[in-house]
Amino acid sequence: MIVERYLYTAMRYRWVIAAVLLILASSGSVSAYGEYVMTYESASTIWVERTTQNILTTVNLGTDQPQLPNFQTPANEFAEVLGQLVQTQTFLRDVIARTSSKDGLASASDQLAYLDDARKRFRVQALGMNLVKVSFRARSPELAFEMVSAALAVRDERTTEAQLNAQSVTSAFYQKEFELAQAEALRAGQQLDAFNKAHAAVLNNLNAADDYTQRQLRLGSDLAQVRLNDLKTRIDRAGISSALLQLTRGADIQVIDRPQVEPRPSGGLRQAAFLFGVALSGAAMLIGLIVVLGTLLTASVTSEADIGRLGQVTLLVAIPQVGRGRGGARAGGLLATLATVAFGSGAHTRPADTTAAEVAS
Amino acid sequence: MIDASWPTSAIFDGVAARIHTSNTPTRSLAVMSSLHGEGATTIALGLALSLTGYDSSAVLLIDANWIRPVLSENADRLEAAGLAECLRGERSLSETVVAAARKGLSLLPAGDFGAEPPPLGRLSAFLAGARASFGKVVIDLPPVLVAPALVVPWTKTVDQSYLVVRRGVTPVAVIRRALAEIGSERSPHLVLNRTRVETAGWASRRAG
Repeated sequence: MIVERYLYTAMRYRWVIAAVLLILASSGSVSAYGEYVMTYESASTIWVERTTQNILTTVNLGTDQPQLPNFQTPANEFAEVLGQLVQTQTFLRDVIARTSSKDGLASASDQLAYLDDARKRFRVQALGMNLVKVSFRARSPELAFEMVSAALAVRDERTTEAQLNAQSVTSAFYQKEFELAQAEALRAGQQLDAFNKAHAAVLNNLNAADDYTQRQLRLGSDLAQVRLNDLKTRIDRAGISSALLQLTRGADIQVIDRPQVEPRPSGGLRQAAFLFGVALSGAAMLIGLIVVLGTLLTASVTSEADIGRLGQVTLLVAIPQVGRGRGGARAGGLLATLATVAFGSGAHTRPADTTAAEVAS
Repeated sequence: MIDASWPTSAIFDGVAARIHTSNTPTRSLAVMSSLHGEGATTIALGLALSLTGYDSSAVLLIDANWIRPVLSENADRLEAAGLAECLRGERSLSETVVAAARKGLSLLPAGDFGAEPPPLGRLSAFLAGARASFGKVVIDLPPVLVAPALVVPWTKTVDQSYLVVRRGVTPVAVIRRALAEIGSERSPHLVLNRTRVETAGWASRRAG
């Protein structure tokens, strides 16, 4: 069996293999242990309420069947938004600026790498319909706590700011409309006054055509006034909304479990297991490479001329390789064929894959 | 490369002819390899088949490979009494030998190895008895480096032993170790297995 060649090579290089395994496994263990004991995770559990009227919003997540609605829970929506914010540099800079690592960021030679490292340590996970867990892994327990707290605060501020900006845009739009409507109302009123002044003598006795014109002008003036009042109401409502938004800042989320300064290492088990697994995989691959190369590079007898390398040994005969002929016995079944010839058709032929002694196996 | 549709025993006829025409009379011959998978059992069986056709003398094929008794298994005699019982003196050769389907060929199964190795010190007497009944005795041995204790006594007893080497696979260091185990006084002949026969395409086509 060809496997035995590799086993032979493995036995031959067993000390090299043992050394490789020892070095990589021990370095992997040390790295994994270091990662585990030097990692502190701080987490916060948040209850998210949707402020809109919809119980569930439907979003198109680009599935194969876009006509099917994909329901997104409040927790998912919050996790997605916060996850997207974490992907941005400005958000991370704002968060880090509120923590003790702001000096580290300022003095970092590669700030992008620093931010990228911080980004990887954040984890936002929806635990249910409304529950979200936000966590951060750091080398110190205080920093983990600070980062989670700062991330929630910055997200809160940004959300409110965005909503206020939206309200400001709406207010500005209404104001512009109001000014136009005011001008229109003024113009309509002036036209009505001019008509009344021109027909002051016969104002109580207008003919049918003038009466119709007067009614039209009055109607236009009234409509312009109604439009003006409507816009004024909308402007007032937008102002009240902004004030309410500032008052109810952060009301859409409730922090159930506040982030804590964890005194004991936590959250590093996964990374530690990954590091150890990588080290073991590397060791396995290296050992496999050593065995395969060792087997392939091992000197073997490839022709009759090589027999001389074995010393005073006589070569009796060279038996040719049996191929896979058309209609003939498969090379791997030569022993079975011979056994049938020798012991009859009722011979119990051992399967080729387990037969160690087939010429062509 | 030889097509497998050829008569299978023809592959080994050359080996049988060389053995027959050698200067030293060879009536008992052992086939072994360095490690598993060299093709020793196949060559032992093919050789025994070729020898039956070479002359009219009866051929005894002995399955002495207690590590992997493939011949006994193929003959459906895995549980039958055989070589081990003969060496222990529990059975006689005539009681344990089974006639094969091929005329002139008999098989001695490996038998039950038991808790302790059969007494290989009785090999000379056993082989003398076998030679008295059969013209040629072919022995299939386990790999030298796997079980040297079950191989070396045979190599010192038989007329000639053959070490099967697989072309391009068996490491030279392994062959050297096997030869060292066997010893230089009864050095085996080599059988190079799975060599390539380069034939021009047109010649193969014309040969059909």
